[in-house]
Amino acid sequence: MEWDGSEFEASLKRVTEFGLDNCIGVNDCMRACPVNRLGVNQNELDSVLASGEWTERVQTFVTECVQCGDCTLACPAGVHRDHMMLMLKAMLPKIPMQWQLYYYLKGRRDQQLLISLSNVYGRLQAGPLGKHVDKADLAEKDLLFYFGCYIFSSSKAPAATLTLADRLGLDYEVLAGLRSCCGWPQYLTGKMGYGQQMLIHLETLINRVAPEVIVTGCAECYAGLVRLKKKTGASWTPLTTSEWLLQHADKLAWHKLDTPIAIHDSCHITKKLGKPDPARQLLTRISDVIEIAPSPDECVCCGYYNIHANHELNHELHLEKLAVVAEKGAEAMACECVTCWEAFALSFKQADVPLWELMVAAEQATRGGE
Amino acid sequence: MMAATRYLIIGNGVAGVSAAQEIHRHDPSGPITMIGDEGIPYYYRASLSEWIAEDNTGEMVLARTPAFYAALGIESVVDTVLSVDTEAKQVILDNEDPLGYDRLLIATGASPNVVPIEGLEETLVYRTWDDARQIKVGIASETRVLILGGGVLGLELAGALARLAMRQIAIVQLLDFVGPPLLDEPAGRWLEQRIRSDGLMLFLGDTVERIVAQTAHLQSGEALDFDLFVQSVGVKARYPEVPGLEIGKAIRIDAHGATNLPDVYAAGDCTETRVRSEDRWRPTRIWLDCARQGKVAGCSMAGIEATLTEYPFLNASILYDVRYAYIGDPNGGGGVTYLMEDDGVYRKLRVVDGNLAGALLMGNRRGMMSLYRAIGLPVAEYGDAVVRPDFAWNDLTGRNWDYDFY
Repeated sequence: MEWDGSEFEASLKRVTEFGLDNCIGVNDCMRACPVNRLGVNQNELDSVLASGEWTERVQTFVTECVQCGDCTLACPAGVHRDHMMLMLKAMLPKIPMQWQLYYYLKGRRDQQLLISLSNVYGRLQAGPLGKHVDKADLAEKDLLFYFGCYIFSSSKAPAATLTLADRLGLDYEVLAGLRSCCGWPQYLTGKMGYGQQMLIHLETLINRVAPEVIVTGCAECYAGLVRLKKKTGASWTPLTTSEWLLQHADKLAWHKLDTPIAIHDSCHITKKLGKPDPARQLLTRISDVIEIAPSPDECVCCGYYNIHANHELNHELHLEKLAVVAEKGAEAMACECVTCWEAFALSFKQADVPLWELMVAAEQATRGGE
Repeated sequence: MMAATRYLIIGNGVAGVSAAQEIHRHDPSGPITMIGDEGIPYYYRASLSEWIAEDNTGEMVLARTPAFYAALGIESVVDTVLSVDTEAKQVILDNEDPLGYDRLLIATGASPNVVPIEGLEETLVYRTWDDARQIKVGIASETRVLILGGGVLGLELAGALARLAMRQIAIVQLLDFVGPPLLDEPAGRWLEQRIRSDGLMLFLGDTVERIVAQTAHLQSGEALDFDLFVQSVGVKARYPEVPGLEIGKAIRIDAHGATNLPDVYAAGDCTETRVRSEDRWRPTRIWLDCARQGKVAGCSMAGIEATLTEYPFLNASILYDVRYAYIGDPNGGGGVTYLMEDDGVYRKLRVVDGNLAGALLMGNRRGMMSLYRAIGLPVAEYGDAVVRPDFAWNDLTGRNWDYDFY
């Protein structure tokens, strides 16, 4: 089944055309890229975009691009190189097997049987939260927690978030499961049709809750919500979990940890949507905050969107991260976004460095005070 | 069967290659020949400074790979076009036999101005690959460089040389501030402080009157020793001799990239276009405009309807060592101007009749592409918040699937 992604594709095509016209060739994009191990030059990418003739190098690089956006921040000419990479992902003549599997597992509404089977497993995996997985009875609530497909993650953030909401005495609804995936994972691997259609489907689910505020702990879900709001002009406000908890922070009693924690910035929340502060303000209540990059925008990506193509390359990014965390004198690192946490989890465990999820840390730091 | 249309493009820069891409897209069977006189493929001029500063290799300055030329079936000819015989539909070359065409594009660009100075025998300029190569050859750490011209290109060169830590870099500028026409005087003063704090010498409202051996005598009476002298005092359109071609200060083209002669098109720095609203001809000077003109001309040549639309001005690049964006018309008179100056940041927005008219961003350019899309939109209700980098342009620029990150 081919899903219609024509509006996404048209938007991407405009950005790509502009990029081809306005690129001035300084190659700052490729120097800023954290995963350009092949030393690909920007003219190689533009030549493929302009002629459709692929090379092995460019194919490999396109599968390794993590969509962190460092290239776009680095560009003096305002070219969205990350979107041009997305265009190349959409044009890839051969889609890696890992991506194809990914598409099947993430929210293919035409794969109902597969999703139903996954949900049986997912409900078990999600424990007490299992009841929220793709549930049919969504109630109208002002506050909606949107956990999407990360309710299946080994992350403890969804449970901690709901514990905090209960502690605050809030009334809420939860939207989660493969059928409510935001489509961003597919979008970020170049599958425009899936991305667009999943987001449209998500809107119908959200409308059943008719919330005023939608809170999510995943940077990609958050980016998807921002884009959906822009398209529909919806009245609800998307918030990151950090933004949401900050609004209620004074109602909780905080016990500060005695070890300083380094902060990792999510590419989507910090760089692309320009919100580096809420996570910091929250972490300040939990521990002393250690900055690991010259500026939040310069924090190196977790590499998640390359995780399905090249484990080794990702691990290199994580070793660099561990090194800088140690160098700055932090004994642990905190992530605001569940995707970053997932990407880092194994490498940090192997290195025996604690990796906090902000919501989990906040839940622990506010225990016993209610 | 009709014979394939033969496309001939004079010039191998951004306008010519953009045209070739469109021609190939719409008429893949039509053979494309490109004539360039530099002997190297299409390259990025703005990247030459990165090459001089040794941030890029010379190869990285090239804009397309050999595989690209092969895929488009482009035949490259290295020669200089002396004239065009539009009756016989052929171009006359300096070294080789005349070349015939069915559709011709003139995209020959511009060449740098050179100011005659008493005592000056030869001078370097800063425009082409070969100019950059000569400057690279001429510099070493002990070199004292003198640049005549503190405009955009002069500052780009100065910025590259400053990264190499030359013994002395001096800029002599006729106007009394740097960075025109992009910068007005206050913005020029802001950049000037930065340049001076790097130890560069700036002589404003001054010029080189005569040169004796390796010493430049300025109008102000100052005498400056130098090892390398580079002029960067603007460019003028250049084009081959074409009888009957309508030319003002440059080749005049219509909204489809066509000249007044049949089957002769033009695009890029060698052209000027009609600004209807102001009833004047405007020379083409910006990379983005050259690319867009090339694409429109390429479509027209391949028989596809295409029109140059009037869009807000956009120029984003590096001025000295500062990333800037010049959007719309930030420097015009009238309206309300909002200014934000911070450490390393200069942002100026101009609002006329309540609508966003233009922006000049230096140092922090967050929101630049959103600002570009927001030109002409009403912003009066937000007051001076619009000049802040964190202003939520995302909510303002219309509903669609686009989202304006960064």
